[in-house]
Amino acid sequence: MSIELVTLLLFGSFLLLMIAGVPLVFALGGSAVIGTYFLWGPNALYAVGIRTFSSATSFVLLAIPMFIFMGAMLERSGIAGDLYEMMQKWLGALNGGLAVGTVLVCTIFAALVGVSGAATVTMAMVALPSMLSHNYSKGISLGCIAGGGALGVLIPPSVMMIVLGLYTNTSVGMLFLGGITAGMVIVLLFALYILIVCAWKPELGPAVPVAERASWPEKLRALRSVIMPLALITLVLGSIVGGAATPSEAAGIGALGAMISAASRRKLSWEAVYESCKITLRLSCMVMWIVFAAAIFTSLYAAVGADQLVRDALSWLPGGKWGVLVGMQVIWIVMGAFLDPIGIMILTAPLFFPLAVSLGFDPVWLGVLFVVNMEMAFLTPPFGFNLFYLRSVVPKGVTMGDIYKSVAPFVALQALALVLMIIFPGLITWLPYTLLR
Amino acid sequence: MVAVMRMFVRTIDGLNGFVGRAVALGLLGLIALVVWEVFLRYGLNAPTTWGNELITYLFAAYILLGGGYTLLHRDHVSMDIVYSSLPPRGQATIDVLTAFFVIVYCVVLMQQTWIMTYEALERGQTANSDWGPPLFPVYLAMPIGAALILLQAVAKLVRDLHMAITGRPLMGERRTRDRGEPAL
Repeated sequence: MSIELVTLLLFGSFLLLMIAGVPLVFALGGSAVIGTYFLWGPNALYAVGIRTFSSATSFVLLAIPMFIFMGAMLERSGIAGDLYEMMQKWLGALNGGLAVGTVLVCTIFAALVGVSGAATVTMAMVALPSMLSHNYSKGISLGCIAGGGALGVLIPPSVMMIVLGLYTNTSVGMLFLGGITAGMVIVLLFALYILIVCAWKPELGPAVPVAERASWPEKLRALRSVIMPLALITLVLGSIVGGAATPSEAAGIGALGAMISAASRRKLSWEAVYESCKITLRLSCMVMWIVFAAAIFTSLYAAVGADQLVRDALSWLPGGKWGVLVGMQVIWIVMGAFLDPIGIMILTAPLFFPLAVSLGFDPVWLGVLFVVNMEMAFLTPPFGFNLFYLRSVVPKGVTMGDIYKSVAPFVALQALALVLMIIFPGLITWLPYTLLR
Repeated sequence: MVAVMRMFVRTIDGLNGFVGRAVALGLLGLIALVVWEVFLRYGLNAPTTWGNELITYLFAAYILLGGGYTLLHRDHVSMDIVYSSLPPRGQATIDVLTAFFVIVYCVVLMQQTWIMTYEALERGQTANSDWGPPLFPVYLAMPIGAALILLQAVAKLVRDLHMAITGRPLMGERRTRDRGEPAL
C-alpha cells in the first residue's frame, strides 16, 4: 500500500475513533497496529511487543504510581482542611483573603501531589462552602479553586513532567525546577488579581467580620498545620533538587512519608491505604497504557513523513522561529480544549521538540511552557478536567454556567503568564540552569 | 443465551476485579523495595546490583496486569464530548462498531508478546545487565496483561451488544466514567 494511503488510514482512523469516544489507548493502538500491518506487513508487528516492553520497563516512570499514591494518602489525611483553617485565621481579615488563602493551600498541595484533580476536589469540599457562607461571590470562589487546582501539574512533583522528560530526553529534575518559578509567577498573578478585584468591589470577597477574626495565639497555634507538609516537601523535592536522589527514589520516600504523616494524624486506616492503592493503580494504568500504545503509534510518524509535514507546515508561518513557537502554542491551546494533556503531549512532543531544539530553543523552557499551556487546558471548555471535577462536588445552586464564567479571568491570567514566560525565558530557566548546570 | 452472556461477563468482571485488587496492593511492596534500596544506597552506601532492575520489572508487571482492571472501571481516558451527549443505546451501538479496533490491538499485543515470551523460554534468553536474570518470567506479564485487557474488552462488547439490540443493560452497572474521582 502506498505511503499516502497509509498516512490517511493512520490519522483518519485515529481521528474517527477519538470522535467516536474510543479510549485514547485503543484509538492509538488500533490505528497503529493496522497502519504497521499495511505499511510493513505482518512480520513488522513484532515491534509491538518490543516497544511495549521497553516503555513498560522505565525506572523513571516508576515515580508515577509513587507520587499518585502519596497524593491519594495525603488527600485522605485531612491536611487540606487544617491548612485552609490556618489561612482563614491569617488572611480572613483581608478583602478576598479566603480566596487568596485557597490559592496558597492549592500551591502547597501542588507541591505534595503530582496531579490536578486532587487539590480541586479537596478544596471544593473544604473551601467552597466556607467561602460561600462568608458571602464570597460564586465567580471568585469557584475560579480560585479551579485555577489553583490546575497548579498541581506545574508545581513539582508532576506526573506530566515525568512523562514529558522521558519523551523529550529532558532531565525531569530540570523540568521540576523550572516548574517551581513558573508556578510562583502564576500564584502571584492569581493572588494579585483577587486582592485587586476585591479591594475594588469588596462585595465579591468581603473580609471576615471582626468578631470572627482569630487572635494572635490562635494564629500561631494554627501554624502547626504547615510543619508536616513543609517537612515532606523539603524531603522529597529537596532530595531531587539537591541531586541526591532520582525522582523515583524520592517518590518512594514520599509515599512512605505520606503514610507516616497520616499515621501521626491518626488517619492511617486500612481502608484509606486500600482505597489509595486502588485509585493509584487505575490512574497509573490509564497513563501508562497510553504510553504503550503511543510508542507504537509515534514510531510510524517518521515512516509516513509526519515530522516533515509538521516541519513544512510550521515553516510557512510568518515571523521565523518565533512564528513557529507561537504556532505551537496555538495548536496546543486548540487541542487543549478537546484532548487530555497526556494525549496532547504524546501526539505532539515527538514532532515539536526536535524541531524547536533545531531552531535553537531550550528544551527545558519549552517543556515548562507546554505544561503552563496545559494548565489552561484543564480550565477551557468544553473538555476541561477541572470543570468536571468541580461540577461533581459543588453544592446545589451552583450551575455549570457559573463554573464556566468563573474560570474566564483565571484562564486569561494563565495566558498572560504564558506570554510573560515566552518574553522573559528567565522566569523558567533561571533556577534549573543556576542549580543544575 | 442471555444467561450465558451474564455468566461470562460476571466471570470476567470477577477475574479482573480480583487481579486488580491484588496487584493494587502490590504497590505497598514496591514502595517498601524502593525505600529499602534507598536505605542501602544512601544509608549504608552498599547498593545492590539488582535492586533497581528488579523494581523496574515489578513495576512493569504492576502496570501490565492492571490494564484490565482499569478498563473494568472505565478509567481509560477518552474524548467524550460527542459520545457523552448520546443516549445509552446510541453509545452502545457506537462501541459495538468500534470494538474491532479495540480488540485488534489487544489480540496483536497478546500474540506478539507471547511470541517474545515463548522465544525467551526456548532460547533461555537472559537480560543484558550485571544481574542478568532469565527474561521469560519478566516477559510473561505482557501476554497475561494483554489477555486480561482483551477479556475485559470482549466482556464490554457483550454488554454493548445486549444494550444495542434490546435497549436494556445486561445487568446493573454504570455506563460512564465517574467524574468525581481524581484523574490527571
